[in-house]
Amino acid sequence: MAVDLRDGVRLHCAKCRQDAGSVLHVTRSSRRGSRDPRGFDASAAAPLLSLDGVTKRYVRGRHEIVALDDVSLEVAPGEFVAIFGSHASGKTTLLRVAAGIEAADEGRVSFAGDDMTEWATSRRRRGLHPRLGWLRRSGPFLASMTIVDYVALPVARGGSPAEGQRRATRALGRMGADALAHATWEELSDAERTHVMLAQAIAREPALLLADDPTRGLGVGDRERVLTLLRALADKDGMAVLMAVPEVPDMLRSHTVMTLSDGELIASSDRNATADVIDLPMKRNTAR
Amino acid sequence: MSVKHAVLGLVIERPGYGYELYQRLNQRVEGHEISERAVYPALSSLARSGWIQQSLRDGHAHRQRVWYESTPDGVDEFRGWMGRPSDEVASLRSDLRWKLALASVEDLPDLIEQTRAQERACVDRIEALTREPQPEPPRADDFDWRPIAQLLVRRSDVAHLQTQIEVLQAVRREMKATVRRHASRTARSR
Repeated sequence: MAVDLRDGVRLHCAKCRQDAGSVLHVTRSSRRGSRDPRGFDASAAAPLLSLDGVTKRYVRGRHEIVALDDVSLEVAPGEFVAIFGSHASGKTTLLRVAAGIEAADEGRVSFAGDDMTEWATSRRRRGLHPRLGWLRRSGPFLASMTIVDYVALPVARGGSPAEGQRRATRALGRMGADALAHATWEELSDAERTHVMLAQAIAREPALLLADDPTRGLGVGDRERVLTLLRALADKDGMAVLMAVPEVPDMLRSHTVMTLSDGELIASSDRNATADVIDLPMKRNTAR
Repeated sequence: MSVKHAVLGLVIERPGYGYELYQRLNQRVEGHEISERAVYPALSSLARSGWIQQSLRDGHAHRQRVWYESTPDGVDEFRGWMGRPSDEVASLRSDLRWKLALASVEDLPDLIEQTRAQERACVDRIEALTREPQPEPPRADDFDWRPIAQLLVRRSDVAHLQTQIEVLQAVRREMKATVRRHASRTARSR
C-alpha cells in the first residue's frame, strides 16, 4: 500500500499496521533535499536540534514525576517551532534539556553536532552552548546598568567589550529596541523589558533561540509584535526558534506547531508522516 | 451513529424495556438530554442490524411491552466501535463523549489513543492556519483600533482549539492514571 501525502511525501506501508503499537514501515521521499515551502531550511543535511526518545524524571518525595516521556523532535535551521502546553506539561523541562542545562535520563539530545546530555553533565565548566540563545526572565543585577551593557553581558563573557557593545546594539536593533540602549531597567515597561531580554538572548547571534513563554504578561498588541519579531529572526536571519507557550493563539506566526502534556509531545500528521522510520516499532511520541 | 452505539452499550450492560433504556441513557450523560424520539429509532435500527433482539413481555397492568437484549453480533459491533478511531474532529468529539460515558477500564487504552488522534487533528488545523497570511501587528505608538480588532478576531479563530486540546489532555491524564492504578491493583492481587 502506498499513500500520497502533501509536500511530495509518499508513505509506503509494506505490511500494514497489524495492531496498535505494531510495526509501521515508512520510507520517505525527499522532504530533505528541498527547501520547505514555508521558508525554513528543511534541506539541511542534518537537523540543527534533535531529541530522540528523551525521557526526564524528577523525584518528589515518594513520587516520581515523568516530565518528558519518550520525546522525539527535530528543529531545522531557520524553523520557528511553537509548543503549546499548559502548567506543568513539561515545556520548561523540554527547553532546559534541549539547551543542555539539564541532562536527559534516557535518549539522545544533539545540537549543532554536539551531544547535549554530555554537555549538561559538565555545564559548570562550559556554560551555555555558544550557538544557543536562552531567554532569561530577569533584569540586570545592578539597577544603574544601562540596557546596552545588560544586553552585552553574554558576549562580554567571551569577547572584547567593544565587540559586546557592537553586538548588543545590533541585537537591540533587531528587537526594535535601539531607543532603549541608554535607559535603565527600572524605566522600562513590561513589553520593553521583553524586547530587551530577547535582545540579550540573541546578542551572541545564536543558531537556535530557546524561549519559554516569551509573551508572558503582555497585551495582544505587544504579544503580536514580539511574535512577529521572532518570526523575522527565523525568516530573515535564518535563526531557528523553539518557543513554548501556554496560549494557542500565540502559535499562529510559527512554522511548526506541537502540543505537550504530561511530558508527551504530539506533532502534526505531516510531521509524523515524514518520519524517517523504517522497520522500527511505531513511537507514540515521535515528532520529527 | 453515536446514540445508536450508546443505546447498544446500555443494552449489552443490562437488557431492558425502551423507556427504561431511555432513562438510563440520560442518567449516564447528565447535562446532555437525549430525546425519546432519538432512542426508539436507534433501537429499531439496532434490531434491523441484528445487534439486538426484541421480544414481547407482560409489563405493568398486563400490557405487553418490548424487551430488548443484545446479540453476540451486537457485542462485537460495540467493542469495534469503542476501539475504532476517527480522524474527523467534530464526529470524534461527539463519539468520544459517548465512549467515555460507556467505557470500562479495558477500553481506556484504545480511548487514550483516540484522544491523541484528535489532538493531532487539532494540531493539523492550527498548523494549516499558520500557513495563511497573518495580520500585521500595530506599531506601539499606533492608537487605531482596527488592527487590534483584526488580531483579536484572528486569535479567537483558534481559541476553541485550545479549549479542545486542554480537555483532551485532561481526559487522557485521568485515563492514564486510572489504567496505571488498575494495573497496579491487578498486580497486587495476583
